[in-house]
Amino acid sequence: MKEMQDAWVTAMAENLVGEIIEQMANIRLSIVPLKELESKQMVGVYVWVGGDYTMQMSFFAEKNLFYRLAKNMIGDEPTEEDIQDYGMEFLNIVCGRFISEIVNQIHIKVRLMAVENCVLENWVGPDDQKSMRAVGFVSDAQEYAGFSWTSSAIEEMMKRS
Amino acid sequence: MDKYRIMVVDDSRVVYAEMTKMLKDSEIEIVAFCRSGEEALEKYGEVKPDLVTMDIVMPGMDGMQTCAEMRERWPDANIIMVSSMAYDDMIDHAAALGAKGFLFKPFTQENLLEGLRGALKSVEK
Repeated sequence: MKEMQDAWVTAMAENLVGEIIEQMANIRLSIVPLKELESKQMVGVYVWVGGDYTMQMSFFAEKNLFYRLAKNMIGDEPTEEDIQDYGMEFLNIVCGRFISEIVNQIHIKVRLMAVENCVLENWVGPDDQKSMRAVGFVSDAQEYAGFSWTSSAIEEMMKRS
Repeated sequence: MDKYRIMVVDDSRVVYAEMTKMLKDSEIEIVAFCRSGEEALEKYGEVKPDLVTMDIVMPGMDGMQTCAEMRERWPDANIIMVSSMAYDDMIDHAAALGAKGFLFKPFTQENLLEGLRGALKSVEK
């Protein structure tokens, strides 16, 4: 049961990130194994969510992907501030949709709020491998990226269904 | 014809920038941008927009609290919630607070115009 739930969440995350970045910025992502990201220099945007559950979610990518995300949305050369703000907004949208998909799937009441976020820190991988899951991507311009979430929090939510 | 006047409440300037771009040639103009619920409550009385677009997840006072407070102080306030958090409970809660609609992020220009026009139907110009 847990494996099926993990597989569902992972597939949902892969589809969601790809769908949203394509809609927002006309960037296409293909799924790749996480080990392909290991040697890449990446930066990330992070959000910590609190309330009924505590979790961290992040989107990390080679810097040029964040640049292209902002540039495609603005339609002009982005400033560094634009790159950060558009990257953060992208993550906020992905996180909201990610949580919504899970809550709608398991039909629970949940109270969550964004507690903290940070932008474009150098990505060093999840602090605790066991409690985090991630999915990997490569873009149409060969930029590597990933999305990660606190899997232990999701497992707790799923147990309530 | 005078344009419809809307107030955008969102902690992200990206949403304001995107809405501005998408509404550029429409009958709708943004007359105020507030980055928090608190700021929106301060400005509403002075601006009296035809419609408020209200983000839900914001630091401090969230969009639901702001909607409730705004509707209490100004019962004719016309509010549409805007969020990527789109689960059933949240949508029902927004409706119970008197929100006139719910616009899901990310929105296209078409979605945005449809959502705003729907909420503005009751406003005479």
